[in-house]
Amino acid sequence: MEGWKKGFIALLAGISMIALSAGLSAAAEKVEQVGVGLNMELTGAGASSTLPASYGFMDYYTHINDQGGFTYTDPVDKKVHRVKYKIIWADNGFSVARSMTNVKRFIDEGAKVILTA
Amino acid sequence: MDVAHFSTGNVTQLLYKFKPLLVFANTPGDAERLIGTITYIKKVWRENRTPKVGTLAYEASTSRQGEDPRLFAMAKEKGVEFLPFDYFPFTATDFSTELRRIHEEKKADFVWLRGQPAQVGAIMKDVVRLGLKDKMKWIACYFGYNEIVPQIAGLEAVNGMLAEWNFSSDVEDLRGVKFSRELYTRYKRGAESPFLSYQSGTHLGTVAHEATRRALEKVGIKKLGGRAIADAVWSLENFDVGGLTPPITMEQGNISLVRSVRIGQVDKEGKLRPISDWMPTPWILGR
Repeated sequence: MEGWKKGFIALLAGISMIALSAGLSAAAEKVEQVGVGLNMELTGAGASSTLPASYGFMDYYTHINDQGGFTYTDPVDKKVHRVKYKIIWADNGFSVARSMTNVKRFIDEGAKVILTA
Repeated sequence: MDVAHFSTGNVTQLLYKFKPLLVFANTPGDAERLIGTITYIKKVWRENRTPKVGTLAYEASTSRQGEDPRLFAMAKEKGVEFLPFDYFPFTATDFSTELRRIHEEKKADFVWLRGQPAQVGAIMKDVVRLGLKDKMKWIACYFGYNEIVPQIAGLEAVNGMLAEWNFSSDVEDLRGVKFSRELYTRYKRGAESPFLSYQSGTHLGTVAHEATRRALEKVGIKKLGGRAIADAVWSLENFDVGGLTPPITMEQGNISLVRSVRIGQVDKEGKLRPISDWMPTPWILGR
C-alpha cells in the first residue's frame, strides 16, 4: 500500500478511536434521576422540633446532589450509573390534609421515596 | 402506591395496618421507649417502694396512642407503676392544673413530658413557678428537648432535667455529629434552628439514601419502587450512621429504624449530655 494511504488509514483509525472514546465518556456521564419527596413541617404547632428535622433531611439530599450525586452498578447491564435526586418538597404545616396533598403531588412528580418530619 | 415512606416520628400501631410494610419510623413507639427507659429508672431509684411515672402529653391521637395497656402491664412486671396519662390542650400556655394534679393527687415520682420543645419550655416555666422542680424528676420525650426549651424556660429551669431520646447530642465527638454540623453550617437556612433536632433529619436521610442506593443495585432504576427500597431497609445489618444512633440492624417486620433509647441530662448551659448507655426497647407494636 502506498505510504500516504497507510497514513490516511492510520489517521482515520485514530479519529475513530477518539470519537468512540468521546461517545463512551458522554454515555458514562449521563445522570439519572430518582425522585424524593420531602414532606416538611416548617410551620404549625410542632415546628419547634420538626422544622430543624426537616432541614436535616433536606440538607442531606442537597449535599448528595452537590457532591455530584452517587453511583450504583446496574444489575442488568453491570455498568456504573450516576444518579442525582430530584428533590420535591413542600410544607405540611402540621396538617394531615396538606400532608396528603403533598404526598400525592410527590408521587405524581415521580417520587419513589418520601420523607416526613 | 409503590413508594417507600420514612418518618422522623415514632412508630405507632396504626402504621402496621398498611400492608405491605413500606413505612419506616426513626424511633420506637412511645410504649416501647418508655419500657426501655425503665432500666434507667430502676437504676436510680433508691426508695423502698414502687416508683410512679406520670405523663403530661398534648391532646392528640399521637399522644393517646402511647397510653397502651401493654405499657402499664409490662411496667408493672418490671416493678414500675405508670400512671394514667394527663393531657393538655395543644395551645395551652398554663399547665398549673395538670401539674398540681400529677404531684398532689397522683404523687408521681417521675413525669414524662410528651410535648414539643416550645411546650416543654412553657411547662418547665410553670414547674419552677409552682415550686415543683425538685419534687419530681422531669423527663422530656424524644422530640421534646432542644435549644428552644431553655430559651423559653431559662437555663435554671432546665438544669438537671432529663430526656429520653434516640439520637446523638451535639456535645458528642462523633463522625455523624460532625457531619451534621457541617451540613447545618453549610446550608444554613435563615434563622438559627435547633441543631439537636436537626440530627434526626440527617439520620433519616442517611438511612433512606442507603436503602435507595441498595435498591438500585438490586433492581435497577426502571424497577425502583417502594417495595425494593423497603427490602433494602430490611437488609440493613450493622449499618453505620456515624454514631447518630447505634448501628442499625433491622428486624424483619419491625418498622422502627432505631430500637434503643438512652437518657440524657441537661447541664447548666442547657446542653443535653448522655448519662446512660443505650437501653434496648422491646418490640411491642404491630405484633
